[in-house]
Amino acid sequence: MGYIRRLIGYSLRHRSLLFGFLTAAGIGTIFNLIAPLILIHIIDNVILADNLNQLVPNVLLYVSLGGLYAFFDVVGRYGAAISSQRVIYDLRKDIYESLMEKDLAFYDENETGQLLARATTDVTTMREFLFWGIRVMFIGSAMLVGTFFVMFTVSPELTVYMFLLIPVIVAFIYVFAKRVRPVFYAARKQYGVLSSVLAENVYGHKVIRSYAQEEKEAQRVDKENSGFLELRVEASRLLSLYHPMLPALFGAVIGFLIYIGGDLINRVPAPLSLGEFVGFVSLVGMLMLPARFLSWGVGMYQRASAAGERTFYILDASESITDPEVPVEVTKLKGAVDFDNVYFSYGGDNFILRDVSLSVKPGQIVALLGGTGSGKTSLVNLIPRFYDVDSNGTVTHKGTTYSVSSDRKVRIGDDEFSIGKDHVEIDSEQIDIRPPGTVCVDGIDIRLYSINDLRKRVGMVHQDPFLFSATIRENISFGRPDATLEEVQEAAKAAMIHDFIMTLEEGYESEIGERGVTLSGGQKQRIAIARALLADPRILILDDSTSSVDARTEMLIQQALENLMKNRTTFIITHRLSTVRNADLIVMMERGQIVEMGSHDELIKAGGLYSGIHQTLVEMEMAASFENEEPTEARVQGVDRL
Amino acid sequence: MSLDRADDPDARTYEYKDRTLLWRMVQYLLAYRRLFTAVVILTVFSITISVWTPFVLMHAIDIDFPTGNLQAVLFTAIFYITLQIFAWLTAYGQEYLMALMGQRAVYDIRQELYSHVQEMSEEFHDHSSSGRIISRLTNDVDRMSELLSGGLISTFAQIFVVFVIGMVIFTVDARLALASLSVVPILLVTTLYFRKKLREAYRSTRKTISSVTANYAESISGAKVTKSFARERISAEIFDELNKTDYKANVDAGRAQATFFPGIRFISGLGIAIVLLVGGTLYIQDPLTITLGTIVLFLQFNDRFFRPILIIANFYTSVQSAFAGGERVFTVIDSRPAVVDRPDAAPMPEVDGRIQFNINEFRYGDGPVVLQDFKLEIKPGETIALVGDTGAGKTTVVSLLNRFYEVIDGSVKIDGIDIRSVTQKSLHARIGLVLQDAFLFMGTVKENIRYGKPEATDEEILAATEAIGARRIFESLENGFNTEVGERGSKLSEGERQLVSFARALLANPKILVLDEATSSVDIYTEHAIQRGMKTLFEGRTSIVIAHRLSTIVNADRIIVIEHGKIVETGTHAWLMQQKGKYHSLYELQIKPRAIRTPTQK
Repeated sequence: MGYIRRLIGYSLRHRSLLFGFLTAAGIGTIFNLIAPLILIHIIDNVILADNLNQLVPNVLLYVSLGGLYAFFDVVGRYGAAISSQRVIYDLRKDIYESLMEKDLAFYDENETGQLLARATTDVTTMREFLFWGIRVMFIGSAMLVGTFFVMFTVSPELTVYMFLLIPVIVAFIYVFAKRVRPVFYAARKQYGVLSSVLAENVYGHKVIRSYAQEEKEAQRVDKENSGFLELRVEASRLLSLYHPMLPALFGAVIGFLIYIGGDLINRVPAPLSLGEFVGFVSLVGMLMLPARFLSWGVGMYQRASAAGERTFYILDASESITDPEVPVEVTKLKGAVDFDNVYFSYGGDNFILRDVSLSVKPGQIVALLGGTGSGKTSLVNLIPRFYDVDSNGTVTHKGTTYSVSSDRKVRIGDDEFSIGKDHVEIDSEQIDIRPPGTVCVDGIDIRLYSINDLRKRVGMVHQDPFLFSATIRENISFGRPDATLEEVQEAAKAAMIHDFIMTLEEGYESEIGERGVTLSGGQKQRIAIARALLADPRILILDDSTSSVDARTEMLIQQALENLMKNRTTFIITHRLSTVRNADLIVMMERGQIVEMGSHDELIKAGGLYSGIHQTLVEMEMAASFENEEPTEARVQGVDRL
Repeated sequence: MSLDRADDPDARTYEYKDRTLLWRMVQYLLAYRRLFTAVVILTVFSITISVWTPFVLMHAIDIDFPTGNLQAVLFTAIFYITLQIFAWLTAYGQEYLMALMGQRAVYDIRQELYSHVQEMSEEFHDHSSSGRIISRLTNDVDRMSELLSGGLISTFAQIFVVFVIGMVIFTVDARLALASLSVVPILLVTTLYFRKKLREAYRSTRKTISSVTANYAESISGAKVTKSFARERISAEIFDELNKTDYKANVDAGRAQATFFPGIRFISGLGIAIVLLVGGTLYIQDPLTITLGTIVLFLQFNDRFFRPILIIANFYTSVQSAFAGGERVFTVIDSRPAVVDRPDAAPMPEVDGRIQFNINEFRYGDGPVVLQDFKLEIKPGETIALVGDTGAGKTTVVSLLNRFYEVIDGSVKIDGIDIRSVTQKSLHARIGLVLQDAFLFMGTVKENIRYGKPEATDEEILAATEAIGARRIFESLENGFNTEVGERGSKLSEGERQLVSFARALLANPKILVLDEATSSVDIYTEHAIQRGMKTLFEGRTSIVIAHRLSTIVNADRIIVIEHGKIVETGTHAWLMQQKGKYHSLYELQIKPRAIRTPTQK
């Protein structure tokens, strides 16, 4: 109900359209209801009364009533189309803007396909309700009341019996809503299951074949296909049962009318004329419409309500990352980055980062090392505020960290402890509370900058970058759409991709993607580098876990990266030792914590995890480059910790 | 053959004539002969009832009412009600059986298509995108559903109804029949005109809506990039343009749609007016030739004209859609797999794993030569690394071993048995294939590991994962071995997926292993587990690896260097390095840079 009300709220933004088309539909319905009265008049007072000169004018009246009905109906439908489309336009706009404002946590939680369906299919379902549903329910109700009213003016005696039809209409609507449609929905759902099994079979055909599992897969497909067949047949059966029920029942009512009417017509004086009988028969036929209309309307209402829940979810999901009220003015950043006592979790006590402190001077290169889940990606995502540092204080008890809730309590298992001034007493142990951490750029908490200012100064290049289906030029100038062609070319040259672009038929205007040129991984990466170069950020984040490329490409990427890193503070995620060795600071991460930090020489001297890994990799390389008959068994220290 | 063609769902290639397509679809229905007969009989019944009903009403008005015989009126009323009950029952039977038959036909087509796709050789999969094959199996089959499960038969029935009513009303009163039928041509022409206009309007809305959807999709996937360049506002403006265009197209379509139905209903209403006018005039001027009941009868029939014409008009749309889908489906069904089992093919027995390639020449279809003079013998238990540039023919070698393509000039033998003389299924059961892009099925990690050996116990699964050194990695997943991997394994990392596929291969324990090494690298820790896993995997079986990793290449028993489809060098790493030939340059240019770098000092 709530979602439909919100949807109608959108309709009410263009009030005159909504009420206009409903009024037109209402007027049309009145004309539609008057038509049988003219029919009665023609039969009783013209044809049966031998009134030939009255025939043409009355038939013309009948036709013009039909014409007026058609006219208002057209206006009503067209109005509904405009009104519903306006709502869809507004709704889509809101959804898009809301999607743009969402933080990345939102995109982590929701799959792309799901979000897309909520923004498209579900919106279409709501449009159906706005276009058909509202109108049909309105006309249905109006006709139900109107038809009974007209019937009553024709023959109160017969109308009394017609009230018996109301339970039939209600039952019809109920049966469709509760029995028939659920089976249709189930069939549609099963179609989804069948499709995904089929898709898996196609994508995984080689695996299926190589494990000789064709029969098992065929059985699985057959099972889902049969399930789909059963549900579809059952849905069709219910539809075939209930759908012709309505005309049959109303037909039976006409049979009943023949009996009652036959009696009434032959009484003296007759309370019913022949014309009235014929008119009544056609009115009973008209009563079928409200039953159908209301039943449709209810169905569309149900669907739109479910769709509304899914779509409004996007609009309702709150953004946790917001601009400060009075942002710090930024003129030029130097690029110093400080992490101080940073804790980060997606809510709860499951910390992705714990007690991370790190100080980077402007222009320094920081290499981040660590396995999956070590937290290195989360760490760099904090800098452009894709996520925010936890703003709660923390307490560490017996090696586990707990966050302090906003009502100043700590929850450990089922116990709750209240916080004192700067410490808490747990099991008669005094534990200090660590204040919430901060990330600062040039010494100022990044939450004090406006998000746009900050992000424009932090660039990111991924190893598998996302490019848009647009021209190469548009992709490179993505962050600075006003850049001139010369500037774009400069950036492309520095990113070592200009020569390649010039070999394309349409050069910088070549479309990328499905309809245009397909790029290799290395080319995409260099376009992304050019894109970052043109945006000219102070702080740079590189995710460079080298995908395999040939030597020449490798060289080009290296060169491009070097050009990019020049004079910028750089965080680089990599496990390429040559890059690591040249870094000013190497940060080794494990399970959300920094385990080692320092320059290459310092870390080698310390003889910890880094030196172990380094040693093994060197050995592996040596095994390869020397003519050694027995390759050294590669051992990586620290692997066992996994 | 390739499926990659235009994306318009209603596009036709006219590879098949309309007649051929229709006949083939009908044949799927005719497979259910008894149902078909029942449907035809019930349809005849239901038409009879629907034509009969107005006559009963006429009878009541003309004969029963004037006499005032209540007994007769009651009889007529009961008869009328009985007809209605029969109308319901026949409609139920007819529609239900029609749907049953049609849905079974759709089921049959889908099953046939599916087993055909399964039988098709790799060539087919290589040349058609997976998305397109899937849409053949899902949407295109479904496109025929409407036509088969009702559309076809009821349209014929409705055409029949129109003719029957036409004839019947002529026998009742030819003058009134002519008058009443006079609107039918107008009705038809208008309907067809609007249909055409609507189709065009919808086509343009389909285009606009698909650009809206495409923009949404890209904006959602690229959200991180958009944010990192703080470009939300410009992107929103671009979206707004598309949104506006879609709004306009839909409002235009709305106008056409709004006029359609009221328009033809008005024309149908004209029919009533004409009946009243002509019937009324006749009744007044010449009362002996026409009764009031006749006029009412014609009024009732007028309504019964209206529906068939709408259904017939609608038929055109559903037939277009069904033909487009059917054409694409039948094209696949009619294509022949390039590799088929010989009629006398025997199952491949257990093997030791000795492989002999003796290929004089191989090319894909009429394409250029891919392998030439490729002679290679691999001993049981040997590990072979295939090395060479992209396009050198490495993948072709392993495809031929799996008989994904047929060797014409030459042979591939396992333990001396020509692989063309055995069934494909038994051949595949002997060869384990680990793909570059590890494919996982929806389900848990455990279910995936068990894929090739469904009867494997938990202990066996643990042993296999332990052997490849991945047990702790799997155990540390959210739900350990019972973690759901998601669609195509999307919830696992790339490295984890690879490890699952190793465990799966190890558990299936084939005598021959083909491994296409993944090129994308993972973090150091997983990488190490993968390298360890591979070593375990190679133990005790003949292994052919399309190798990219330095460690794999170095540890191989023999390295085969392929260039332009020929073996140019073979030997161990150390030996080949000394030769300073092709391998040496490959190593310097590709293998080494790809590996983690050596420090130049210290």
